[in-house]
Amino acid sequence: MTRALLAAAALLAASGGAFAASEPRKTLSAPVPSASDLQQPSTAVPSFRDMMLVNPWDAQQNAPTQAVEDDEGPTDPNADVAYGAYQRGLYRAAFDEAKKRAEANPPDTAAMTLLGQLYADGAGVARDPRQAARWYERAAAKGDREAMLQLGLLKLNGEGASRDVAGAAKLFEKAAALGEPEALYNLAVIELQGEGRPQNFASAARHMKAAAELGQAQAQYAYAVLLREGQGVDRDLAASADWLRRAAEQDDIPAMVEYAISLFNGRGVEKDEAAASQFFRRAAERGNAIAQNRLARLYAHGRGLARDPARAAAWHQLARRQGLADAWLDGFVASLPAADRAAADGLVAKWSEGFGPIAQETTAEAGGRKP
Amino acid sequence: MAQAPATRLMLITPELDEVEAFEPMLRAALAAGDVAAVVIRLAPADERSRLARAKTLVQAAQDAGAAALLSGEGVEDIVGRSGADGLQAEAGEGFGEVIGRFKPEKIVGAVAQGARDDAMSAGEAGADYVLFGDPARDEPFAATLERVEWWAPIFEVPCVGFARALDDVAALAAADAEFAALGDAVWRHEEGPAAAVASAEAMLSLSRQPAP
Repeated sequence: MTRALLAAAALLAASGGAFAASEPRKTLSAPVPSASDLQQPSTAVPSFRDMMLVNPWDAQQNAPTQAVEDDEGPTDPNADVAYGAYQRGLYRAAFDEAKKRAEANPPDTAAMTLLGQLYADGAGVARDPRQAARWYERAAAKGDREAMLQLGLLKLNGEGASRDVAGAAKLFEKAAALGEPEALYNLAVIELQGEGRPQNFASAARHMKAAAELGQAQAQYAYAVLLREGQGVDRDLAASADWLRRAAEQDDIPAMVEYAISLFNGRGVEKDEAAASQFFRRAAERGNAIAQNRLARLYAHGRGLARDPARAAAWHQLARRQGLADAWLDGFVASLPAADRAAADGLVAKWSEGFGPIAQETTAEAGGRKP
Repeated sequence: MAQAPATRLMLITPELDEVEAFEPMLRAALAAGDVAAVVIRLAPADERSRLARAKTLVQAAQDAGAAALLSGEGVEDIVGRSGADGLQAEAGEGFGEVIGRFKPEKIVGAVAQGARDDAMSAGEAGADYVLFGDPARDEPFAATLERVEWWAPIFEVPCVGFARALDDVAALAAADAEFAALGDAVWRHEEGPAAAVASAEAMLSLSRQPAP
């Protein structure tokens, strides 16, 4: 079932993203100042990491640890095709085995859930959300919390089932009662947005906290935001910073960026510019444009790390590629001697080839990202 | 959208071996509120009598804008001629055949009082609804409610919960049953069927959550 869990993990990540992506307007117009903060940043601009993974050498290196999806599934944008094909072969075997067990007497509930996932992903079988929903229904009816969660996500997105936020909330509630962290998180988001059930910040905060305590990184981040805004829970900057840290330590990128900012400003946590620069670096290396921009500024000023104009220029270049403009840094780079600017170009080129520190970081991180 | 569609009423007749006395009761009940469908249960009799009884009540139901569904042994053979909108059959073995014979022209409901698997299979076979809590059997309402609470959040196929008492309607609405079916709670209500339907209707509108 490890494979099932892996598939589940990848799917969860993807589904969570889909939820966020499917409702940008709703969220922005929600009467909650913090609701937009809860959204993962849009990844419309290709990340630095994507750019590096087109390199075949890199793809090969990544193969053993790469977490995985199909081309057309709800995909991890970083999945590489070769490993995907390899996985597809295994998925077919998984599909046959799961089908056998799901249709056996007595049927195997976990196998039903896995079938749902394979249909949802189009892995080992043609993608078919309707079939996915059908298998999730069967497994959910037998009390499988993972299936309840997945079925809820399908309803939320109107995939394989008619879109029904209230129905999704009910399913998340059922799964949440069984201790499913992602379900708690989604339930909390629905309660924050007030679509499908009445808006209820206090209840949302409770559910978000429960998910955070179960180790759900997105929930830790979101709960930190609620604590910071005093939404549904008493305002507590120290607790907020602590949850940010926990999420950041799980590689939640928005949390890394915000925790770094908290560290830099000494907000809810003791000021520590060196630690801040490290979190900015980790997020920057994962392709976050804001972190790349802040890291560039830290290098430019020599705050929290040794001043290095070439690196400042290099990170600024990467952030700009993603559309993050910064007139001050433009001016700073223009004022640099030609040698520094050439060095920056060299760094960017080197990193882009997949041999630099960022590529190594990416390789190590690709398989390790917790859902 | 978001808000689940509200629970609607359904009526299930007693097993009928005459309709002269019953027809006015049915018409009065239907006039008292919004009823989505009427399940007409026919007692065993010769086909001619059953067809005649069916036609009378089908007409009464349809006059009020409710779907008319037949139930009882052998109704398969008179559904077409009676003008009924469909029928209700036992989930389980043989249900697939009924579906094959009547869908998609007619409505086919499944009476799912046995194993949960039968209910799921009926839903997958294409039943238009599954009914929990068969009026013909003496099942405590708590068991019905438990089935509805299990089914409603998970499956797309609508479910009907049979309310033994008028108050049960509120519990079914709270559990998001698509339909609350009433039988003797209406026909034997001391103030008459119309008052019973009106009161059930009032309960449904009260249990409806205001739209956020």
